[in-house]
Amino acid sequence: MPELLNVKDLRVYYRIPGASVRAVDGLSFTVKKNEVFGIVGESGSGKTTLAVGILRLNKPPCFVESGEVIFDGEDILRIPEGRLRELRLTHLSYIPQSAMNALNPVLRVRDQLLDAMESHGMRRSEGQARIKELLEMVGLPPEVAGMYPHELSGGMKQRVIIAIATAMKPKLIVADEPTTALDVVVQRRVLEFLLEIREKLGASLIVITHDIAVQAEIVDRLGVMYAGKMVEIGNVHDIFKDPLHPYTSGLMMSTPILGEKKALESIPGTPPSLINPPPGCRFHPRCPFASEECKRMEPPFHEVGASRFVACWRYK
Amino acid sequence: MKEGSPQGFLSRALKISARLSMARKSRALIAGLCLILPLLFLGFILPLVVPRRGLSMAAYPRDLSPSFEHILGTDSLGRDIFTLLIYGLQQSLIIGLIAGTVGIALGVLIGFTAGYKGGFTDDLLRSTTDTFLVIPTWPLLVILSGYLKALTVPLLALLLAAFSWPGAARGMRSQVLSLKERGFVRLAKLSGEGDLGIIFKEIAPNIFPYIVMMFGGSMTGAMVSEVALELIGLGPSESNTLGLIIYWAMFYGATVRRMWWWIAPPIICLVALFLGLQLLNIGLDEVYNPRIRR
Amino acid sequence: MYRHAYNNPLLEVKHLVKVFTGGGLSRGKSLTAVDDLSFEIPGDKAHVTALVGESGSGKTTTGLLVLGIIPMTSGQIIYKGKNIWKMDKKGWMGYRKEVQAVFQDPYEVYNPFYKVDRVLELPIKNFKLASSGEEGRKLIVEALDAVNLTPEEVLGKYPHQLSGGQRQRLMIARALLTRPRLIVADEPVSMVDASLRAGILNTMLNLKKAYGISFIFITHDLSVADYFSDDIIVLYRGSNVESGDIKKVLGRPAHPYLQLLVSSIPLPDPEKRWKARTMLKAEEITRRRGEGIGCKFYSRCPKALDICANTRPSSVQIDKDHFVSCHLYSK
Repeated sequence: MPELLNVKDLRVYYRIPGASVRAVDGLSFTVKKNEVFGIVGESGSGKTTLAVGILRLNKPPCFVESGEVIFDGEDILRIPEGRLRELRLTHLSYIPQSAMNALNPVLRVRDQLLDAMESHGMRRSEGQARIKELLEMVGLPPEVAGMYPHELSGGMKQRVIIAIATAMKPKLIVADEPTTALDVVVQRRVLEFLLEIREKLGASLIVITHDIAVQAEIVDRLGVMYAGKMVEIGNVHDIFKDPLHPYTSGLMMSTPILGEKKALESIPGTPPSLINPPPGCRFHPRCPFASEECKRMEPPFHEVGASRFVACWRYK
Repeated sequence: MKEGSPQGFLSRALKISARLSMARKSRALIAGLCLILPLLFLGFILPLVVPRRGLSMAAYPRDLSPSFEHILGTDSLGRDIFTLLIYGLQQSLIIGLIAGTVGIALGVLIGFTAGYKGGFTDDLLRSTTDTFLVIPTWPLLVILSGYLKALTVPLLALLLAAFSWPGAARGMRSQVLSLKERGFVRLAKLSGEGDLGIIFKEIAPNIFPYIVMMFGGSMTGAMVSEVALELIGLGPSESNTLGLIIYWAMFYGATVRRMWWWIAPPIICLVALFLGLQLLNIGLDEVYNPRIRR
Repeated sequence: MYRHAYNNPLLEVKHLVKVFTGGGLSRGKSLTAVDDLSFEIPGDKAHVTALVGESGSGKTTTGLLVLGIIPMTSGQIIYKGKNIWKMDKKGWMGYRKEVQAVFQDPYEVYNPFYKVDRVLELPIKNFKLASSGEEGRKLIVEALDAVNLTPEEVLGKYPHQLSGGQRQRLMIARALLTRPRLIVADEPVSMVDASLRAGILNTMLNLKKAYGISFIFITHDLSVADYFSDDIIVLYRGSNVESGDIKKVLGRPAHPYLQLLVSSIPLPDPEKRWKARTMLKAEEITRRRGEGIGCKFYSRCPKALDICANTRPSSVQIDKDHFVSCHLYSK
């Protein structure tokens, strides 16, 4: 299978006086060419740190401790700064959380698009010509080019962000919570535009969100993150039909589906501390199936079926 | 659980001791206290024992270097500099304290009322505050100081207070406005708390540290203005302040004559005072703001 | 445990209007957050009414108005037959005891200065719920038990020492102290982790069953509303656009706005993606509309008729327990 991104045993820690917050603690996954890969995790799972880590956007006290991030044959973590800069935006693109609030309030949309394109080698005249096209791709009328961010609604701002992020035709787009804070109707439109662009560009998209319903709507494959580790990966249809890891099934059981009559259940307990995670399997304090082995030894993350991975002693 | 009961008293005592232990951990607070407390000692305790004789002109021979009898020597007017420093510090502190207290008290009262009451009261008080803010402080201060024949220390302090209250009022108002809408105020209302309860028990504790910090700023501001006035010769000439010491030192060319023992001590005191107040502010912020605690 | 049935409607909201203006001396724009809203909460048994809308719909403002925390511009809120703003002090205290609230933000509702115990102690003190410290403590333990919290877990701690889920449960415990008849819950789980939400919702359902407490459940999440509620009122920009039995309304949404909402919510089921179940697709419509006249949804409505531009639709009954305000259904 043609792989675009191969993350191997990544560890990203925050070094604070006296301790390390092990936000990403030995995590591996791959993203194929032309696919939508989702990463679902709740608060405290480390998912934003993962995004920042694989794109090498981390700043102290956040450090990449070990691991490899192979993008199209090159290890992002080890290439020189110059090459990294080349790759950013032209091949790799990042939409951070609350990006729409980071738009420069004193620049018109057109100028922000131009700035993004210029800083990656495009000539101003080339950029000018592309603006209308870019706005069209995200479903915005050409007038938006002359407007300021505060004149736009949340959904429109997010679409401008998507336009900026895809201006240089990247091969991989990483979107961190791209639609939180947007109304449901706007959310659907923004996500649909994102998917449309991705398809046109033939790019891969990594969508990171805590909202499992959004994952169900848009991704091809899904990775479930818990306490800094990946606990399950698989095709989205398989995972929802038959979740293997107890955390995954816990998530499914605690999410209501409109129109279906089902009792909901919470997962007891709270997410563990990332400074001092529990020994063995990190989920064991909350797991209804926890055995002695689970409390002592960490289960390996391995393949249990066609592209299906899980880290649980129940599946050896 | 009634307030006056033994349980209430004990829990309050425990709360205070918890705060004290937090205070002990704040390095800024301790540094600030290390600067301020000695200065307070110098300015308020020592004048009780050091005789005023050294303040009179020609009390001693002029321009003496520091010696055992005169720790900081004497100035060109024959006064003992150490005595000058002690009493000067006292006067400067008094100006700062009066100006700070009056200014803050006025500002808090006006700002709080405007913020809490809202509506027409707010509009009225806010316009008044803004008008005062627009008045150019410094030129007015210069003119008034030059015009008033008998400018005493208390009078100057009140004058400085009159210019500092609008800033405090504005800050106070915005704090109250934001606190009023906070969830815990709404919850207190739902729990049956009346207006007074909300003002004193919900809003006040969250505002108290802010007031103390504004006080530090106000006091510093007042003392800076006083020194500035002194340096151009417009300060209260009756009483001796740190600024006045510097004025005379410069008048007699103390720097040119390398009489560091005359000009340096008052400057060091002022810098220590300002630095100490700032550090106290930072320290208090650490104690009261749980998010930036170490 | 304690059930007090009341034969008439428990709460009647009549023509409620709330307008926010810019302030006394300034001539700013005004915002009509709640626009002629009327509804009833029945009193014969415990009942959950969902108040659903997006941001700007006026749902939170409605909650605050019902609780009497902010004054209304016009209209009436009648509790057990008495207008709440015309009650005397005793009546008002009674209202406060019987109508309590749970708010959205489990961080904001705690005064960071005090230990969380205070949140439980205040109602006991103000409503004189206990005649001794001993009795008060008993009430607190009881309330904590009803929400699955232990005293050791939460008492004596400061807000930042508890998790969001614990804080939210504590809020519910606080609301229970006065033995309320109605709880206004404003987005009680939207700021809590998804895997913990079910527990809190189930706790509230238990309270409904065990203590006979009715809820006004304010939320933007239709799936959660469906799980928890009996009735639904859909708000758009301050007006009631559709209401009725929740299974009926969400099963066959009539108003174009609701159809749009239902079509847009993501379902946690990859077999039922948007494309397969779109009732109504959002379009980029820019229709100009005069301020204040016509249907509020006109400028975004894919099914708009000419009449929608200049006449407000009134409420029409399209089924037993199903009402809609839309010209498409006017007789």
